[in-house]
Amino acid sequence: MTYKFQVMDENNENIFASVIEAYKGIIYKIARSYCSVEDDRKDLIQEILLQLWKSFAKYNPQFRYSTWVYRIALNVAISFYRKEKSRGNISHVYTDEIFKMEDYSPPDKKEDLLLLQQFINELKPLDKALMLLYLDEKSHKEISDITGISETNAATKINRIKNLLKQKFSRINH
Amino acid sequence: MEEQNIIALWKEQSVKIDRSLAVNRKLLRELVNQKAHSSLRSLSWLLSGSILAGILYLLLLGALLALAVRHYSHAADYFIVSFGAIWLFNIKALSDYVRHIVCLNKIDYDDTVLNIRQKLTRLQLSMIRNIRVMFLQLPFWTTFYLSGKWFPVHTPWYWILFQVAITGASVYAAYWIYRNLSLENVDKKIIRMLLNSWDRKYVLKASAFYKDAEDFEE
Repeated sequence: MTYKFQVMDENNENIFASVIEAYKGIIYKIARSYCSVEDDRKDLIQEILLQLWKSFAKYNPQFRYSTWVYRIALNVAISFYRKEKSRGNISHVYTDEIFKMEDYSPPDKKEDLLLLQQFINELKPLDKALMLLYLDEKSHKEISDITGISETNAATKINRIKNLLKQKFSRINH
Repeated sequence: MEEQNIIALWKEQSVKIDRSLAVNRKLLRELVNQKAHSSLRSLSWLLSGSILAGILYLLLLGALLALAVRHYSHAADYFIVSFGAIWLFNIKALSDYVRHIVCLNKIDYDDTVLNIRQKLTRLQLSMIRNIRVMFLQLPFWTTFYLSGKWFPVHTPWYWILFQVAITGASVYAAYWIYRNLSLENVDKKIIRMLLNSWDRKYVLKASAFYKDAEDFEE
C-alpha cells in the first residue's frame, strides 16, 4: 500500500505552521479530553497533526480554519483506538514533543475545572465533541458543519448535556 | 454553578493554555516532511507484511492443491475438494482484508464527525461480518485427509460413524457461528469467546459506536 504525500512548498508549509500555531489550543484541549494518558495524548496530537497536514492541500475555504481543525481533530480523536496497534510506528520517530506546555498554571477555580473535566471525560465520544464545541462557544451553525447533525438537533442535544452538567454541579454544591 | 460561569471558567483555561502552549516548529516541519513520510512508509510495510504472510499461506495451499491436481488419482478427490474450498475461503478473506485496509487508509478526516463515524462503523461491521465467512471452511478441515481409495468402501463402520459425527458437528458449528456471530449477539458468552480470538475491545467499541451514532442522529 502506498501513501500519497503532497510536497508542500515553503510558503504553504509556513501557512500550515501558522494555522497550527493559531489553533494549537483546540488540538490540545481535544487531545486532553479524549486521552487521559500522557503518552497516548502525545501520540494522538501527532496523529491529528499528520491528518491535518494530509488534508491541508484540500482545505475548503468555504469553512473557517477553526471548523476545519475541529473536524479533523475530533474525527481523529474519536477514531483513535483504531490506531492503537500501529501508532507506535509513527511516534517512535518523535521522541520530543511538538506541543510543549511552558509554565502552565491552572486557573484559580481548580476544583470546578477538575469537575468539569471529569464530567467531559465521562461523556460518550460524540457527546464529548458537542460539549467541547459548546464550551468553546461555537454557533449552532458551526456545530452542525463540524458534526453533521442539524442545528436543531445540535441545540437539543447540547441542552440535554448542559442540564446534566448543571445537575452534577448542583449535587456537588449541595 | 451557572452556565455563564462554566463557560467563563473554560475560556479562562483556554486563554492560559494558548498562552503557555508552544509549538515546536522544527518538529512540526519534520513531521510534515521527510520523517512523516518514512514513518508512514514503515506502517505501510507492516500492513504489507501481514498481506505478504497471507499470500504465502495461499501460495502454500495452492501449491499443495496444484500438486494433487497434477498427479491426479481417485485417491486425492477428498483432498482436492477440501483444499480447493479452503483455498477459496482464504482468498476471499485476504481480498477482504486488503480492501478494508485500503478503505481505512483512504478515509479523509475532513468530513463531518457523523459521516466519518458512519463510514468507519460500516467498515468495522463489515470486517466483523467477514470473520464469519472464515468459519465456513471448518468442515473441510475434517475431510481433506480422506482417500477415495478406502473411504467409504473399505472403511470399518465405526470409522464411518466417527467421520460422519465430526464432519456433521463441524458443519453444524460453522453454520451456527455464521448465523450468530454478529454484534447483536455480542452479549452471548460463546460469541464473546469467539470474538476474543480477534479483538474483543475493537469489536465492543465498534458496537458501542454503532449505537452511539444511531442515538446521535436521532
